[in-house]
Parts: sequence; C-alpha cells; structure tokens
Amino acid sequence: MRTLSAALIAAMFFATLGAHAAEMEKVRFCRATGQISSLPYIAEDQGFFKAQGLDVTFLTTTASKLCQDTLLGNQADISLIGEAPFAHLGFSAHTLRLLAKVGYNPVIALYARKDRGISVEKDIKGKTIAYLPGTVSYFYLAHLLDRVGLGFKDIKAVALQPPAMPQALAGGLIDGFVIWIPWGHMAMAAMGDKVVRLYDPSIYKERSFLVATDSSAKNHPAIVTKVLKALMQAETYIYEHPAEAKKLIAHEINISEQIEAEFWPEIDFRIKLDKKISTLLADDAHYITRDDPNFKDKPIPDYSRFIDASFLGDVAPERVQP
Amino acid sequence: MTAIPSTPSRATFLLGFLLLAAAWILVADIGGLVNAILLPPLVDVLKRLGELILNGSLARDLGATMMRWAYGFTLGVTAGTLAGLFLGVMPRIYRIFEGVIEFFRALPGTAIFPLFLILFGIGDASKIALVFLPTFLLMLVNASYGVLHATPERRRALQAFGATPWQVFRHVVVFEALPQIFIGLRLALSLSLIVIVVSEMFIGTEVGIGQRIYDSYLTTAVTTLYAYLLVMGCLGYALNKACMMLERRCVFWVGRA
Amino acid sequence: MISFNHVRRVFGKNCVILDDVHFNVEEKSFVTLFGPNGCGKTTLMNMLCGTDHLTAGRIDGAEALQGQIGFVFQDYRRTLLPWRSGADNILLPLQLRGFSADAQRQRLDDLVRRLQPDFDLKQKIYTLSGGQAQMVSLMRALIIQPRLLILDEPFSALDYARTLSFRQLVMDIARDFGLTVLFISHDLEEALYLGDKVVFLTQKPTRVAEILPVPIPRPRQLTLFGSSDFAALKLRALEIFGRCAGDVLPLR
Repeated sequence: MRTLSAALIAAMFFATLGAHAAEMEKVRFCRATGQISSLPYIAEDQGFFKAQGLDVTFLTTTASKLCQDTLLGNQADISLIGEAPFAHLGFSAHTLRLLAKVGYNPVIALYARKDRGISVEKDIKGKTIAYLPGTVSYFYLAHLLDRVGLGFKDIKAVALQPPAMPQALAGGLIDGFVIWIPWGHMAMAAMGDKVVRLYDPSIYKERSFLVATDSSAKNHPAIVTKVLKALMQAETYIYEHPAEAKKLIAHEINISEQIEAEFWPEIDFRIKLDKKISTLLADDAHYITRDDPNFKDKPIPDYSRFIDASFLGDVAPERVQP
Repeated sequence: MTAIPSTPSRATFLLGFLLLAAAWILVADIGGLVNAILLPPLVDVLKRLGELILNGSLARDLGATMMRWAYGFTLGVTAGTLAGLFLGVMPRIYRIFEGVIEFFRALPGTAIFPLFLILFGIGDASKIALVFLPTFLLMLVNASYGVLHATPERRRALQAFGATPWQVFRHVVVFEALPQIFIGLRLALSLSLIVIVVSEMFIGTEVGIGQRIYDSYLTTAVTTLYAYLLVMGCLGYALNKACMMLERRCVFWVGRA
Repeated sequence: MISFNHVRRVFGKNCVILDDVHFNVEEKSFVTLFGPNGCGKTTLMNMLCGTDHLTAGRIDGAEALQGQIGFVFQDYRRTLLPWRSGADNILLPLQLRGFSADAQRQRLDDLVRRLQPDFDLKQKIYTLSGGQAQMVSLMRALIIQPRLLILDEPFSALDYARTLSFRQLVMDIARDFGLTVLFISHDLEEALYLGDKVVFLTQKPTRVAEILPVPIPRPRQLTLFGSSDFAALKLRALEIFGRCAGDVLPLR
C-alpha cells in the first residue's frame, strides 16, 4: 500500500515536471568558447533563459566561425558571431540575419621578438609576421600596417594556426605574430622579456553580432525575441554585478581573472544596432578585396540587406539608431 | 587473394564523371536548388580553377605539398617494407614487438599531431614526419604479414633443393610478400595524402594545398575551396591509378596462380 | 643405396608419427610407398632430404646423396614459382647452386631434347595446364641430374589420361636416366604397377606393415592391369592393406 502511494506520488510529480517542460520553448544556441559568449554565459548561469520560458540547448564550438557554419547548416538557431567571419560571409549569398551588435574584446595584439629588432609597430618592416587569415588577426594586422604606413608587401606575412604561433616564435621561424588571448600570453610565459607585447585596441576593434537563421526569425519570432530579452537581462547583470560577472566569465573561458581585468574596461557589452554597422562591415570588405586574391575584383557587398532591426526595435526601440 | 579488377572501358569510365557533372550543373548551376555556400555552380568552380592554374599559385602550392608528401611517403615505404621483411623472417622478434606496433597503428594520426609539433617544429619536418609514421607502420605490418603468410610449401621446396635461408628469402619470400606489400602501399597512399593535407591545415604553412584549403574555409571562399577539392580528388585518383598499374606489372600472377 | 633403420619421429612431447620404419632402397630400384593419409610419408621424405630431423634411428646413405636428390611435390602449384616462367622454374635448382648461365642453358636444352615437352617453356607457370605444370615440376627435379628421384603423390591433381601417360613417362625416365626412384602413392594399383616393391605403411604410429615384391618384368604396359598375375598381386596387396588399415576398411 505504501509502495503504491509512493509510486503514485512520484508519477504525479514527474508528470507535472513533464507538463512544465512542455511549456518551455526549445532553442539551439551555438556558443563559441571565449569572451565573445559572455552574455549567454551569464544568462545561463543566472537563469534568464529559463525565466523567459526557454529550454536552451547549447552547442559549443572553439570559434565563432564554426558557429556561423552551424547556423548556415541549420544545426543551430541563433548565435553570437565575430565581425571577421560575418564580413567574409557577406560575399556569399546567405540568409542569416544580423539582429544586434554586442561589443567584445578578443584582446588582439602583436607579439614580437625584441632580439629581432622589434620594439614598436613600425619595426615589423621586412620581418616575418604570422597571422590567421579570415579572422580578426588579419584585420588587426592590416590596420596596423596602415597605421604605420606599411603594406603587406613590406612584410612577409605567414598564415599559422594559433597553437603553432608561440612555438614558431620561440624557434625563430617567425619574428612576431598577431593573435588573441591566450596564445600571446603563452609566448610571454615561455620567453619572458625577449618578447614585446604591442597592444593597441584603437588600431582595430572587432564587434560581435547576434545572428539568427532566417527560418528561426520567420517561423519562431517569439523565441528569438525571448533570447534577445534574456541577453539584455545578462547585460544589465554585468553592469550591476561586475565582480561576480568577471569571476564567472573568467571561469567559463578558463583564463585568470588578472588577464580578464586587463581588458574588461574596454568592452562595451551593450546590445544595440545602428546603421554604422553596414559601413563598418563594408570597410572590412574593402580590406578583404584588397588583400585576399580569392576576393579580388569582387564588388563590396551591401551588408544592410542582412540587418534586421525589427526584433531589437520591438524590445528596446531606443537602442536602434537608424 | 582476389585478382586486381580489370579497367573499365574508356566510355564507361567517362560516363560516370559526366553524369556527376550533369547532376551538379542541374542542381547548382541551373536549378539553384542548393545554397551556393554549400554547393557553388560547377562553372564558377572550374573558372576559379582555371585562374589558380594560370596565375601559377596552384602549381606552387601543389608542388610544395607533393614535395613534403613524397619525402615522407618514400621514406615510410622504404623503411617500413625493409623493417617488415626483417620482422617477418624473425617471427619470434615480431611477436615481441607486435603489441607495440598495433598500439601505434591504432593511435589516430591526428592525435599525434601536437606531439610532432613539439618534436619537429612547425616547418616541413613535422609534416614529413606525420606522413612518414602511418606510412611506415602500414608498410611494416603488411610486409611482415606477407612474409609470415608466405606459402610454406614453396619455402620447403627450395630447402629441399638445398637453398640457404638467404636464397629462400630472395627467391621466394620477397615475392610471396609482394602482393601484401602492394595492399599496404595502396592503403598508405590514400592515408598519407589525407595526412599531408590535414597536417598543413593543422600546423599551417606558407605554401601548400592544405593551407589554401583552410584559408578558403576561414574566409568562406567556397568556390576556391571546391576548386582545391577537385584538384586533390584528381591527384588522389591519378596516384592510385599509377599504383594499381605498378601493382599489375609487379605482381602479375595474383589471382591467376 | 638407402637404408631406413628403425626410423622414429616424435613431434612435441609425445605425438609419435613414425614409430619404427625399417626398409631398404636398392640402387636403381623403383620403390613405392603406400600408406594412409597422415602416416608420415612426407615426413619420411623430408628427413631423407635433410629438411627434417630424426628422433631416433638413422637413414644410411642419406648424407652421400645430399645435393643429388630430385623432388617432385604433390601440390605443384604451391611449389612452383608463379612469377617465373617454366624454364626459369626448371633452372632454379641450378641457379641456387651457382651454375653459370651457359651451363644452365646447356642442361635445359639437353633435358628438353630428351623429354620433348610440347609447350612453350618461356610461358609463365600460371598459363600452363595441370599436366604441363607437373611436367615442369618433373623437369625441375631432373635438371640437377639426380641419383635419387622422390615423387610425392605427383599425379593426384591430374586427370586420368594424364596420370596414365605420366606413369609411363616416370618409368621411362627411371630406366633411361638410370635413377633410383622413391614413389609415394595412395593408389594401390598405381603402387603395384610402378614399383619393384611396395612398402606398406600402417597408420600412426607408423611402422612398415609389410614389403611386397612386384616381380613383374619391365617394360610394363597398361595391359598389365587386365592380367591374372596382376589380379593375384592386387588381392595379396588388399589383404596386407586390410591388416594395416585397421577399422578404416570394412573387410566385408
């Protein structure tokens, strides 16, 4: 008798849970491990997605380019994508929608060997510098060269994977490299003061974009709006509880809080949308057509056709600047 | 041992490729049934391929990749075959090393990449070494297998004629092992081509097909990506064909004896 | 010429194949060995050639014959080298002994003249029929100009017609070349037809059950099979076989 009652109560409990779960709306969020995913980390941790009635499945990747591919393949509904991959994607026909801009900081810098005569940026003339094509590493290097009045023809630019960069520097195969954390810190840890870190965020600031698939935006606009709202709650949390937010994000992306504290002040987490975005992306496209032979002679895409201001416009119209 | 399949007639051979091309054109070029990001029009891919050939970049990248591959492959085949033949005639020593050999063969090549990066650096040496290792192991296993499974009656026949162990090895064992060696060679060929491209992608290089493929991926230059894939497909096919022709000449008795 | 003296062969700890094999092979005689499968006939021949060792007993005359024994194997496909031509297979024993190319050519021409094979020896082995391949096998055994020719069930894979013609050929070769022949057979009629005597071997552990002389004059022809002498011999042989086959052969 007692066993039967217990079984009945348990059955009712799980049925209630099941019923509750059935009310939650499902969404697949692709998340690249890194500071770019600060808002979704906070939103998940603080239960903001749940509060919006969302049952979020997170797909984790190592780079936002992979998240972009996941969206293109319809394996995810929404993601935060870096400016570099999105700019390159503009040259292809796609239907992804840019819903909002969120600032982030990849903390990209030039790391170079002092003993190869590099102590300031312009010293890279005639040197071998490694970078990763198609990423913010390329854009930073391109803008850096512009800043010091040089071009790619004035250096020997070599494509390398980030893990290989510190080793290449230590082995003398390259004189410097342009990359985001933590690879640069690895080089500094290994080579000490033989390496100079030239960090100037004013050279190039990458943004990240909240991007959704066309089918999610068209068929489940309510869900997309709820994701946006949850992320905006996360944004509020970050500004109200910066210490806790810093700690959580440092833990999630596995870097020391000390390193994080360095770049934290430069990040603008605010979710907004303005028409400058298509101009910025067009500027990126200009560099791409200039430097990448695969895109030479290609027309600069009209990025405004990918921007969908309706979602942010509904939730927080003051954040949309036409 | 099954005979090496005979080559299809030229017409049949071309028909398969023509049908594939027709399907591609129908789906992508004409029908627009697939997003160009996933499958660009064949005409665009061929145009891009033409550009890469004419501006010399394909020759440069392909040459660099093939040079690295050739070093690693030749070294691996030579060392692996010799080691395999040696271990095959020393079954007791082979048994000692059998477990170790199988362990390394089972280890996914890609898992070894980081280790080789540390050991050999990011230059050509690590890529050549990454091609060498799986080639060497495949040839070693197949050569020793071929020797261990050589027809015992033939060995005994020669011994009955008074042959020395070296004569038995030279006149019988090596030939008996050849069919299996060629099986290993074909496997090593396919695997080594995969490894050289992936190692260039993983480690990075200034000049090389793997790097160009990865660059195309990073910058979403899909047409260029497909152009390189076509090149690699043709290359792999041509090398395999060459290997099969060599096999037919060298082990002509297989399937007939 | 050869004397098998209480030859014993044990494999491993206690797997006795040959228990006590004792018989002689006279010079220029034709001796057939008849016994069930697995009784160790091939092992016996291997010991004679020196490719296997004895556990006990001795084989007198074996050492003196080293290098002068020609061997024709049962499975010629698995003992000929398919990557070589017929001629190259025949010449292999001479190559192993370091004969010059001229000497090799001379011997081959000589052998071809005597045996007159009716096919092209330059063809690869795998293009030859069973009979042609066995001819190559036979020529390979004869190229070293042996004193002793051992044939281990050489016709078991040939068809009846070829078997008959090869039997005649072997007898002719033995006579013309002045060879001593040891012929292993599992065909009782063949053993009687070919041999000067038939050595009957028992099942494992193998001994010599009996040695049956075959006092039929040579040259022997196929008509012998129909003769009453042969029938009587065969009856006698069957009786011996019945004793050494044990429960394998139902006598009634």
